[in-house]
Amino acid sequence: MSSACSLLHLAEADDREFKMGDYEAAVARWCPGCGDHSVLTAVQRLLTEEQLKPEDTVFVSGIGCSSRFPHYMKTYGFHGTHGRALPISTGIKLNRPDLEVFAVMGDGDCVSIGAGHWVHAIRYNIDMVALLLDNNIYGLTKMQTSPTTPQGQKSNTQPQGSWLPPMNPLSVTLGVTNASFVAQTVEWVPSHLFATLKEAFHHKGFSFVRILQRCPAYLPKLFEDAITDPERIELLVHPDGVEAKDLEGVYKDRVYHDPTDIDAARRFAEDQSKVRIGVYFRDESRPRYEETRHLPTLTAEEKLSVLDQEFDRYAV
Amino acid sequence: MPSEDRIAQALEAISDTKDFFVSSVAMSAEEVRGVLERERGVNENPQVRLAHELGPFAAGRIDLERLAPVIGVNETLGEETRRKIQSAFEALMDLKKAGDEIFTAKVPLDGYLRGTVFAALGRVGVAFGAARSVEWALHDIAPPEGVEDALERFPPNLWNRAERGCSPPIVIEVEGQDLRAASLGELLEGSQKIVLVVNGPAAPAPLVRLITPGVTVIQTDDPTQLSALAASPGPGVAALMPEGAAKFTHVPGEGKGLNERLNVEYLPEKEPKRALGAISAFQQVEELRQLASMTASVEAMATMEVESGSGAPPMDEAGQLASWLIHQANFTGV
Amino acid sequence: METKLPIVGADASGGKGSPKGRQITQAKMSTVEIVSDPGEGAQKCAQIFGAISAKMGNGVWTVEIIPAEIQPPPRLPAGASGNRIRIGSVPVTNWGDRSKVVVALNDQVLLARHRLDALEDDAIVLIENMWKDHTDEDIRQQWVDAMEEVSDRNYRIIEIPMEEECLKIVDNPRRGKNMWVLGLLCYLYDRDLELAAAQIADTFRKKAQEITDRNVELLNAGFSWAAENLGFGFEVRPIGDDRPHVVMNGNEALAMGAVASGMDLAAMYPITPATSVSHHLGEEFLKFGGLLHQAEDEIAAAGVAIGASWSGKCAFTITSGPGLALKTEFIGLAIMTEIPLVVVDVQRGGPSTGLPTKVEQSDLLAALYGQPGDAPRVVIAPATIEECFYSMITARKIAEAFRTVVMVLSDANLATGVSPFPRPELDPSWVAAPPDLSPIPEGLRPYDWDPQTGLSRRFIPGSPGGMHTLTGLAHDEGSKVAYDSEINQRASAMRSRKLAVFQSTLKPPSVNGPEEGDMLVVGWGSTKGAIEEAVEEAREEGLSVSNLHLTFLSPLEPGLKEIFSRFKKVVTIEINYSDEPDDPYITPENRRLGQLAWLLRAHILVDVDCWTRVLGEPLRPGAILNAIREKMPEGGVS
Repeated sequence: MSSACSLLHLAEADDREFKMGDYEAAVARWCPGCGDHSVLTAVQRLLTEEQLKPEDTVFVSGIGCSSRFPHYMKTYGFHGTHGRALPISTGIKLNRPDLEVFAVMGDGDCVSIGAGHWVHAIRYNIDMVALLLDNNIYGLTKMQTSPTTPQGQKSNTQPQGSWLPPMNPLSVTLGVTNASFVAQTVEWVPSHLFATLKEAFHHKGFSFVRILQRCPAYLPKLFEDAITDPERIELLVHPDGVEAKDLEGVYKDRVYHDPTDIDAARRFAEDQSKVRIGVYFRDESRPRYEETRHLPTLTAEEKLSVLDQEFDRYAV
Repeated sequence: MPSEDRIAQALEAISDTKDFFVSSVAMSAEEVRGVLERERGVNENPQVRLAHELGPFAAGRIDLERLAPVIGVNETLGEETRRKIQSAFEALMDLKKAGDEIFTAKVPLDGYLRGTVFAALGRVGVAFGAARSVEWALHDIAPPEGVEDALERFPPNLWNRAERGCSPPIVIEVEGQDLRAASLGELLEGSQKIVLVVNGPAAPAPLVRLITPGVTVIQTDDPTQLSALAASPGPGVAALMPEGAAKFTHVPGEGKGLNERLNVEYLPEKEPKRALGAISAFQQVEELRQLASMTASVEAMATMEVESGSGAPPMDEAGQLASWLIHQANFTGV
Repeated sequence: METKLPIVGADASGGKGSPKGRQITQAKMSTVEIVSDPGEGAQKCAQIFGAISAKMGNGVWTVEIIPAEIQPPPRLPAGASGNRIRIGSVPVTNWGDRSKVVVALNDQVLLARHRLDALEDDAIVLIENMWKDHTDEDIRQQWVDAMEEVSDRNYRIIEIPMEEECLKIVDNPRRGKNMWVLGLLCYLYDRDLELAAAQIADTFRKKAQEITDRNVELLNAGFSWAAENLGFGFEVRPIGDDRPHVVMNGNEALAMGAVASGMDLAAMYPITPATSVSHHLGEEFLKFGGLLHQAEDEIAAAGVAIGASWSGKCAFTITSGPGLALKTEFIGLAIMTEIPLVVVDVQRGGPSTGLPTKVEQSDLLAALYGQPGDAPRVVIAPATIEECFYSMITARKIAEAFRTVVMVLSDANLATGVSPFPRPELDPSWVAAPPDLSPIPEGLRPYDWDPQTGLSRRFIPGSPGGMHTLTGLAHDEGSKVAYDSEINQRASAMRSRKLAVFQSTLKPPSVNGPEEGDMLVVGWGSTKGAIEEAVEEAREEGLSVSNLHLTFLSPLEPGLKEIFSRFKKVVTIEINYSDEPDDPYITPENRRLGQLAWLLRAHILVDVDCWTRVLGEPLRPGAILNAIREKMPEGGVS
């Protein structure tokens, strides 16, 4: 596909300035206290700060509580099918590299039914932001076990408690060839959430952000430890990641982690003794699928003239 | 090396930007074709058009008399509007077919460099003029003042901010004696890339005055060094110089400090003694000295960095300069 | 068993043209096949022979004989590889019945063809004789057994010392024997040797010149040998169509059609027999600035195509039956959200992995009704290789104009058949222009259905003022989730209405043959050529039979009830499974019908009978003719 811009689009004088309200659509109907609200606010703030044109911005989601996200954004949105936000996003970016694409997925969407797409989207490394809103449970369908549900956690599908240890989305992502940006943040620390989203947005490539979040309806106690005890949290800080200087007073456990160090990133991801937030890994030199496939745009006339030459090869 | 070869090398170096622009012209031509396709002319038979669009598979199978009113080729454009859009379409198609020639120009001997660049950009800028003409035609707006024939020339002073961000690169052939680079400063905006292929005797550091924090400036005799110009997102100018001139690259993306941005590969020792055309010897010496002093401060900063150790978090430019000054004044440890 | 043929008037000159004294059989159609172990070049020989024949103005249909195994050991019936070429003095629309001439490079591949009933009872068998006196006793015995097995037919077997003759020119006849055979065939069918040499040069243009030279030498040697030793030949006159032609298979035609339609993005996952469309696009699309995306799976391929289509020009995905099954949910989404999409299904035998390389027309109902919920879409079936090309142009346009999914049903018969058609005169109007990204006027909604037609303007990302969230949930005109009980009813009606509107623009299909009679044969898709050939043959026999071929399966073409009423009986002929009426337990009530028969009955309340076969091969006109004879209503024979 081609890399090009529409000169017609440029021709329209555009001196609009966007405020937060310009990105707000319907009133969010998530439960009070749901982590989705904080993510929505942080994302709207990001769009305002970046002055993204609402018509050139797309939010793609699958199915689940968090997948209602696009409905609350006054941008273009694609609320598709369960687990398939990433193929749709891939199609959009391949056809329209000019659009800013955000995929918003829940843990069921990304880590379970769409896991195959997730792995391959990491490898394609298309320039977009993928948010995993991970509340460790299926909420929309009322409390079924998800792949990230803690072992032993009771649910409607596994009333005796989840049989298996949870899947670790960070170590999976960091294990995939061509991963280029992996971060984790939490919805209850808005400044860190915002700073992480901003880094993800500015990264050229597939930016994967896992956002830990509460589900007040089904797992209200899930992150209680981490919320009430700052010592449970460890910040990964770096100038090329999130520095979180404003949080120095609250979160004392700060590790200077160079995000180019993938081995360290994998060790941090594997070790579950702390809730570790920040940019784990980033490498802009990884090939991006849409870039490797750029081709010049041809006019209809040119295409047909090439096609005519092709027919010469088949002529009798 | 013959200048045609050097022009070819210059074009090659900026080919990504050039291809992007050509692709944008093609894309826009296609969009305008779409406008012409959707908006049926007043006197046009929609069935004939549909027959073409659907192709022979539909022939005999689809009743176009019934289909035409259903799938909305009903909107009409006035003859005049349609004609204007058609002319804009043709202007874009002409540019698409023109090839590399629209991205090059030559300054006549004793000519005015800025004037040539401005005129060349005005010619290739017709792409923007054509796109604007479509907008004006569709919305029945008169072209703004200062626009004579947007399909003939549409120079950079008429481009808006968005257009300057997608500006066409340009390769200019110029004699060393006519290389009065400072005049280009105002054109280096948005993503404008200018490559100068310099012939004959030239001043040793003519581009030095263009070094400002956001602009890529390259002086070299090695075409492979031009890749840094193509890679930088912002504006930039590069000169393929004759032998003997200073060689340096100033790349904003390399870092915040001048020592990170500026890399001087060769600094001639001999100061010029003779005027070149209208460029006085004094001016040439000025430029060379300016580059020399920049080189000196860059080297000093580098020394300072080694001494202070590389593990510390990097500082911004002001910080660096301050600590360098402190270092020079022997205040360290105070 | 006749193993030696008396040489009748052999012409030793080796020159071109019809030698005097040669027995020349004039034929309207003649079918020849070349079979060998894989790697012996039978396919290359046949392709060149087909190309020369097309260039000489004959109708041609070439189809590959594909070995049943990937790397079979030599001399095994399952390894038979090669081509069947049917040439005619009229356009050739199908692979025919049985072959008149077969060139077999060993006795075992001959057996393969014999066992498949691929050869006429009096077929001429030109067989390599090196095996007969082979040093290996087992091989000699196999030869004897093979000859015994085929002796129940009246084949005219001519043993030919191919190896021996080729050794005069090359050291390794395994490479090159095919060109010698080509020379032999050129003699039998009076092909222009210069044309053959030119075609060889073109085929091997990327190789060293010596290779072309040696192959031409082999060609001439084969021709000369035949001229000296074979006293017969065939004359198949040119059609007399002077228009320039192109020759390709259906998958190549689909790929070229996609390019001509202006679609820029194809997403697929490898699946036989659809994959070769993407082989072609993988190479060709690059030249057109298009993108062939090989997705991680069939579902993702549909998702990528939908994402691309939603954000701009219509895109397409290519698959075959099992892949279509996987794309089901996404196709439903595209229909629900009114995203234009072209889905190409190159059908194969099913269900499950089924007959992955063989033809069937078993996906019709899946293509029409494969989605849960009501999911109206357009389904079209090209009937010829030429239509494979043009159908893509129409499909793209219809998909965009009606904001819907258009399915294009091809099959393995079209995918692997190679045949010439008049070279298309390219028209820039075919090429999709980028969609409208102009600002959306205030108050317009993303599904502002015209209450009459159900049509509405697409809102595409980039259009200022058009921001909305598309959703797979039931939704209203504003793309808002349906909470009101009436909305889903209305939205379903609007999506369905588009199909009715499209149907109202279709013309009634034409009847091939008299407009009324005893029997009307109805078909769809790739069987058209074989059905028409059989029906015309039946009429020559005096049967009152006509045929009608459907191109639009959803919506169905109009006027069918009225047309059917003019015939005593209507029978569909299809390559999918149906119960035989006289099989055990089968009653008129429980009999499962061919898929088109089922569809026609449901739509127009006419008692449609069917004759269908799932033999893993295209229908043979002769078999259809037999079926017509059997199915004729009482007293139908005039």
